[in-house]
Amino acid sequence: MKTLGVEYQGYDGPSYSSGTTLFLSFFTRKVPTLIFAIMTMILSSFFAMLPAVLVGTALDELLVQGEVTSRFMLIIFAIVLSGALFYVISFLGLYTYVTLGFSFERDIRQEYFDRIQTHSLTFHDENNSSKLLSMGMTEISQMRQGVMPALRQIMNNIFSVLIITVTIYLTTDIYKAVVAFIGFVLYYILAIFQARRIIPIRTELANTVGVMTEESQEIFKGIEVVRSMRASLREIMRFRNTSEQYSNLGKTEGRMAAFYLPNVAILILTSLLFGWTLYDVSNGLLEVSAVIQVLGLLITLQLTSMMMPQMFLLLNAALTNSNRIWEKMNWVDPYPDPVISEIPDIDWEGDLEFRDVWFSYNNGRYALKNLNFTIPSGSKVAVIGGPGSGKSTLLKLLLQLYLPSKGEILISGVPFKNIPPHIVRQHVSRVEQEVFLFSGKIRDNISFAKPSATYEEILQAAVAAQAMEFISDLPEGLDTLIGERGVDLSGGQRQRLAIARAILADPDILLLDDSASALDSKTEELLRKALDNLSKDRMTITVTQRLNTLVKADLIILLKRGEIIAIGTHEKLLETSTEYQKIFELLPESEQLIKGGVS
Amino acid sequence: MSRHSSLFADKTRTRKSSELLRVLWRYLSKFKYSVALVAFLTLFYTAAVTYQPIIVQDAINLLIDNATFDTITLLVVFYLGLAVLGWVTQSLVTWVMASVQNELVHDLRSDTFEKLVEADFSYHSQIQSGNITSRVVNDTQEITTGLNVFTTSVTNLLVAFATLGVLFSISYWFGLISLLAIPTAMVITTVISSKGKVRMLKVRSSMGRVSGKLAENLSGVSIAKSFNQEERTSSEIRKLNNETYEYFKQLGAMMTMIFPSITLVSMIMIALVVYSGGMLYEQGLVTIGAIYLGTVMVRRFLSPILALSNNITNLQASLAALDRVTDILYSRPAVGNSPDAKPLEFKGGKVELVDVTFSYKTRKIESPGMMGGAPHMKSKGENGKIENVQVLKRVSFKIPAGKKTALIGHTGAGKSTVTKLLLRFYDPSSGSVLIDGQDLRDITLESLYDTVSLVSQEPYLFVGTVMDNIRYGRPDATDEEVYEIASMVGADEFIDALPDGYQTQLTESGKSLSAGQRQMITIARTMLKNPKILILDEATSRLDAYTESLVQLAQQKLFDGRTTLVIAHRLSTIRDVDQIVVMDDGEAVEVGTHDELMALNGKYTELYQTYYAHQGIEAIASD
Repeated sequence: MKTLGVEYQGYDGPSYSSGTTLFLSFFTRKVPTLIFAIMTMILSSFFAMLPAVLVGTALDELLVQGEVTSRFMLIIFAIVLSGALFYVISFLGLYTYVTLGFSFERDIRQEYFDRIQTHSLTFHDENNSSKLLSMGMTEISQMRQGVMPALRQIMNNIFSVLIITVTIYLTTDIYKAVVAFIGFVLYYILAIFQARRIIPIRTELANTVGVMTEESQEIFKGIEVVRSMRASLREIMRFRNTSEQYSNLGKTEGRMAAFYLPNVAILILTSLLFGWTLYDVSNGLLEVSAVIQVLGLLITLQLTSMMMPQMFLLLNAALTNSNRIWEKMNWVDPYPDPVISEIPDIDWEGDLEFRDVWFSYNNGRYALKNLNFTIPSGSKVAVIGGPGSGKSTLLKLLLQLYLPSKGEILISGVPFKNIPPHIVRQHVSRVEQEVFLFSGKIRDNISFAKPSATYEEILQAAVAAQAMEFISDLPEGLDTLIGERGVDLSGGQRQRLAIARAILADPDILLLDDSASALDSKTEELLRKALDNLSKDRMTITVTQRLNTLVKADLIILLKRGEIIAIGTHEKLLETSTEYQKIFELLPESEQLIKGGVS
Repeated sequence: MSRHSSLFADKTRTRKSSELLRVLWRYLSKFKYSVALVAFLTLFYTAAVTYQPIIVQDAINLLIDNATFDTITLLVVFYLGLAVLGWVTQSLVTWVMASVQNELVHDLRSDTFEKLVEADFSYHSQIQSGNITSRVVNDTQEITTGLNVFTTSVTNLLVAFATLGVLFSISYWFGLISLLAIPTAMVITTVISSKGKVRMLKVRSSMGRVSGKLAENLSGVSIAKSFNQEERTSSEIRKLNNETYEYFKQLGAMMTMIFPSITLVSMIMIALVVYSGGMLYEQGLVTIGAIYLGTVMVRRFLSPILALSNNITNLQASLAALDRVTDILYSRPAVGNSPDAKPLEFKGGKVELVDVTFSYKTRKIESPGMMGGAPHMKSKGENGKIENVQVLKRVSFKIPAGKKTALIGHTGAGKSTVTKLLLRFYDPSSGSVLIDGQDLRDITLESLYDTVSLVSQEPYLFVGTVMDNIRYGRPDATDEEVYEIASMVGADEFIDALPDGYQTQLTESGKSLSAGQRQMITIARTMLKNPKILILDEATSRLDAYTESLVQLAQQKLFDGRTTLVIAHRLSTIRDVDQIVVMDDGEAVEVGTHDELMALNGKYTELYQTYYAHQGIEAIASD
């Protein structure tokens, strides 16, 4: 699709065949750095083990020589030296690994966002944004914890076991080395087994604390309702239940940590090797130093193994999350955009036609049914209907945020489905009812659709949208920050910024969702002017309840439960449609207009 | 990292530690036998782990003296026995503490929740629901974490003392060498809590920015799509993501120093023990076994000392959490049933405000002083001054029984405050609010809420089905009653169109519904309760004109015959009320019918011209 000549071609980052592959991609991202980190890890395991051996050798020297010799002093020096080497090497290795871990987290987060951003709105309707956010933040952080510290410690431990087994072989014999090795393998098997038992409880704990937090926050948010509906006692009992459930789970989890079986493996192993070495020494098979060395080595290993159960849990959580993240990233659109080989020439100022259009949000119900109408070039259209009538859906189809389930929409005779969405959106713009602005400068919000806009263009758009009226009162004018760390804007002000934004987008077809709630007369007048400026010289489709808009529209479409129940001009509908008459009468003060019109 | 987070918790607190420990004891005393058992077991544990290396020492010395087979067997059995004893005692402590902690946190959590549900509205209006929830969920958890840390600390302290005792008993040189652990621990803790804290805070705020941007770009995804700006949002995230990575690296560099440093110090200590041991051995003052014991014990002394210094910061955080929770547990709500409160005697529902003044304390919010209708700056943190704001000034008016009264005025005129006083969310600072001649402070809250209901400005829905939500105020209502009320309110049409009808699950306060639909559900919820006195706070503002006109007729019938106070926003609302009360700057300035008030040519006329008149025909006529 290179020929299209637009900036963004959708997601072009790496893709993965499964959640596990996604997680394991850690190993293939920066191979040389990772190899360096692992090499230093092996070296530092060696230096961490060395003093245990050296203490034994030193004491042996002392015992044999009966005095402090220069060799004894040399060994002591070697202990300090291996400490210093450990310090340097292990810092380098750890730091390298830490940067790898954090860059993994950063990259996955970026890929995650880039990927789900390109998913169609069907995806974003199915997934609520706060859930997607917490996945993007917390769960990806947990994926990182899976590589760092979990994978690092596990790898480190495997190296330690190997190095220490070899050292036991060198200081004693092969049998003790084999027993030690088997002992630690047993320890790991038991630790993994134990982790598996704890995992479901951990998951349940996390869910329950989620429910508890949500329930409690909900009650405090709605505390006025809770109290005035006399539901306090009911809510307190409900919370007590959830809390108790959580507490019981916590108890079960805590008790599992007691009587931790893997530690039994370690203590039997230690006692066994201790006794065995003692007998060998007393039989003259080994030196006394062997006892010191074997126990020293086992203690070193015990210290590094202490965190293993925790690490297995982290690794497991990381893999689970990786799968969930992968599923979101690799969501398959049930209604994929058709593949478009070449883009037809389109006259965007031509007629717009709905031919037999049906649409469903995939919930077993049609939001739009059998729409058939043509909007002549340059017309002003008003769409009216109650909540759930499908009026907002109609606008979404025109932006090609969705494709019709059946039928087609045509512009100058070209079906929308033959036009790539980003081309449609270059020519069609919408001003929504609940305006979404990005936190940042006002000017960046206005130039959102046209980042290259000059200061003059932005200013002109703001003036035309009647927005300068309030922007010039702001401390920094167009550079004022809005949103979380900036200024709060009122509904009317937000709408005017959205209008300015649409003016710079300069669409051929303008969609207005204009069912504003009550505004004071001045704001309403400004808004009206702004909308007039915006809709000048372009096809405009407005969802509205304003009498004024209805009266002036070239075409009115009356929707009810997704169907057109009346279509035509104001005068025609007043004559022909009883539904329209009814609505018109119900609109505020319309009777005066009717009387006024008659007299 | 989660463990470290507690290091950086807010440390300011208002109570002494002794006072807080008394509070904790109130909850802990229930478990006093368990606590005694844990203390007892901990002693055994300490003895077991301290004595184990001494056996190794004895074994080494005996071997050097050519010990017999039987002695060796005895030592091995003894060694194994101590290991098992250590394991069993530690497991028992963990087992018992699992119950104590979880039951304790449950008690604390439930009590805190209950207190908060009954806390004054002034508390709820000042503190974000997220922060309140954090008191209930996080702070109580933090307290028990503290309890756990405390138990571990006591064990650590015992082990440290026993270890130090053993070292000094071998040689005071060994004892002195092991004391090196103390400055090491102090240096490390100081570095973590000073430099580490700064870097941690940078990481956190940077992560916060990533999270904020991600949240924004996810909820604005349709805008980015509509304007073909996906590239832009992606690069915004990339920039913040990289920034966070840099901060993480700085923090990581510091944190990765800790472990190698500790290892280096412990190796130096071991080297010193072996060296001084060699010197002492030459003089015949120590045995080879004792030197070995020294190397094991210095290393062992270091870890409890490190743990202890780290735990002190953890304990501080727990005490701070306990302090915050104590604030809640010991608070006394200002609004509540008085001891001799009686149920309200309903005699038609005449409501009366007599000379009501109301003021509340707030932090002054900085305002850049802009023209009317201009945006106001958000309050930046805690730097405002506490001020007494008077919102109602000697307000008196009557709402006739069974009649409809509209309350109008500019934003901030005190309209919402009036409704809150009627529901006794607050008590007036002076003056009184009466229903059928009875002061609200003399009647029970339960009877008040049975009689008076509010449809508030912000339609608030709970997680659950549409059915659950409508039934919220009357859980015993039948399905038929719910259907009936929904159809009377005009909500049945859109509810039927929802994917699962009345059984549709609402999430995130009914986010999937439009504001108007949410409002209709709250109206149905209120009307199902069948209140005799109804307060509608800008209730219809969420409905668009068309929808409103559709439901209005139906709702009129519902509202008829009840005493109704409505904060009016629309011309259509003020058209057909029996009485209008005009509020201005905390005062009720004009009372009367539309015609009467227009004749006055005062505040009402001004408001009518600004807010209401253009909703009608004039605007069209002027085009």
